Amino acid sequence: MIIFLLFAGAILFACSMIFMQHNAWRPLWIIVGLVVTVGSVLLMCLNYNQQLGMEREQTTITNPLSTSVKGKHVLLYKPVGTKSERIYLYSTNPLQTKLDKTTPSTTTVALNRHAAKASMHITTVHWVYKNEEMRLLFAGGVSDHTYVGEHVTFELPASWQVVSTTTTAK
Amino acid sequence: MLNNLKADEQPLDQNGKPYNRILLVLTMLIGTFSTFITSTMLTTAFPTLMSAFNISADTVQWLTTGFMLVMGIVMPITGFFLQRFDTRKLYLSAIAIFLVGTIICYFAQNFWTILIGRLVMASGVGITAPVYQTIMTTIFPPSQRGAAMGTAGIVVGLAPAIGPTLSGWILIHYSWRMLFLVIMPVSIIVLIMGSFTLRKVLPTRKALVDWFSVLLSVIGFGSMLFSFSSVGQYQWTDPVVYVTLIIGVIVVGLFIWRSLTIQNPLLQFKVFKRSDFSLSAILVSVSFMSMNGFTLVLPLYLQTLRGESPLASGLTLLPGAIVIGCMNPLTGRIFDRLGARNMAITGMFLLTISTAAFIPITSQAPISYIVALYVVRMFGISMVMMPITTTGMNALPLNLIGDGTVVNNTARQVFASMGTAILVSTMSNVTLNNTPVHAVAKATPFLYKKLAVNANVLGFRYAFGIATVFALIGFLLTFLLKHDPKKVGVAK
Repeated sequence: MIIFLLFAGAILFACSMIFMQHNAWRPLWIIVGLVVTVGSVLLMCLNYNQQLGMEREQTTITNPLSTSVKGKHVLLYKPVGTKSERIYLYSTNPLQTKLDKTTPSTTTVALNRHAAKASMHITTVHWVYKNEEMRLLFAGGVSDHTYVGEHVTFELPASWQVVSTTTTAK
Repeated sequence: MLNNLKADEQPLDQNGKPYNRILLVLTMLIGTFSTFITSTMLTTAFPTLMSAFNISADTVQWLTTGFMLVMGIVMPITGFFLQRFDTRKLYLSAIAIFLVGTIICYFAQNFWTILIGRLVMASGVGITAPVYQTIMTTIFPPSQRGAAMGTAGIVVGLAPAIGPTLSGWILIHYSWRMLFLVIMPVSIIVLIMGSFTLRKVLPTRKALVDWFSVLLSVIGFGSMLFSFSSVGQYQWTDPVVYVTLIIGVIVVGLFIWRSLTIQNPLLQFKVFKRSDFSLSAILVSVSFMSMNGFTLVLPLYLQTLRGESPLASGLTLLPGAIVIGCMNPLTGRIFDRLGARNMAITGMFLLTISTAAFIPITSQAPISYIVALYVVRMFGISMVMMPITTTGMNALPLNLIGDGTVVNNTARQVFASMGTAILVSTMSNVTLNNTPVHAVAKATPFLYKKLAVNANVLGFRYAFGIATVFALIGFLLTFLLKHDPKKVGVAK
């Protein structure tokens, strides 16, 4: 819709500027064309830069957490770089043979070391349109349900350890 | 479309013989389109050529830089060629030179051969571009010049934009040699067709060439264009850039001074005495500064930041190219009826607003918005480029049109390179200044990646901001164009 409005505004502005005779209606049509064109461009910019017409939608799922190393209560992480960045390697199913991992570029991680039971909450954030009107206005623009990122909270009892892969290798 | 360009009476060439104007235009349209398309075609093939010849990105860049350089050097000399040689022989010779260059490139076994081939091709294109425009301007009466220039504009607008898409597609299916092979039959057809359809349409005289002017022109324009082309690789503060730029400016200044003081100048700078022509040349140059730089930066954004393939990036720009191709003949006809002023104001406004829409660009802006805004941008450019060029040409008497075209084309080339250099250097500097130090990459690689992307985005934002400023200057200048279309008649 907004793309259509942009084209319509540009064509209306161009036609009224170039073809219309000088009369009382000409400035009116020029202003209408101008407002629609500039307005569409502004709305498009605000939509893709500030997510105009959208809101954050969070969905949280909770999974039981199994140990990353059999026989121990351990959550493994792989240190990345020389400072604080980590990729957590976790399992949500005791029968799982390959560990899942977090993606530091899009995921933030928090640890709660005093939980009663081991579990993990994954909160996924998406941009969704506020209502049908906005979805229609920006149809073809920023997609509905645009993925923003994830927040993972590992709930660990005091008996669990958070261990680096470099430590376990030793 | 070509039928609309029919004049009322049977056109006669300089030998007094009748000729078919439609076939002449058609031959030049095909010929110039095939030469223009190669100016942007090879960029897509750079990664392929780098691995084929085991060369670096800086070296392969010379295939485009050298091409633009030679084109810029040959263009000013074409003014003399137009005075001295039969337009038919001149155009056919230029196409033949271009064909030779294409053949050299096709059979090249190493990088230096392909570079020589490209430079030979460029010298052909440097002649065809102004000759084509001069012929299109002179063989139609002033009342039909807009439509004629609009038709000519199809080539200028469409060919460079189609180049990357076409070569992207060819490279997926065939070897890089095919890029040159597909052009060869077109040049051969134009040579055969042209020998029957082209005519001597401009008067010639035994003009003496001022070799010192040629030397000044080659050194001056060569240095200036070399300097602008080197900004991407070096910085403005590097002697390679600023020394060559200073030499270029001084030598071009000498060239202009000499041209104004001698009897048989290479270029007639007195065309600038006509205010309509001067304004048109400034406006076209400013729009080219905005257009060319932007056309280079947008594919860079799509390919380096978004990871799009060259073909996908070419396809993103294709709808805009089609719009300018379709609009140019239309705006030409509107120009003939209503003049350029309102069209130029409208076009420059749309160009400014649609370029400004790219300033807040993010790494995830929807492709559909980019396509739509680029379409509006090209819609705006179609109302500016050819109508304003024609306004300038209409301000000149017939005997100065050849010089006017050459001056216009040379100025366009120099300013386009300057605009591109300013945009690219700003983008590189902003990106470099905001990229975190390498220690961050070692300590926190994911944070580094995020900050590096942000630095890149900022670089693109500044480049788009500068392109908007160029467009805004052009927009303000359009208000200086004259109101009454009747005043924009041919000078007596």
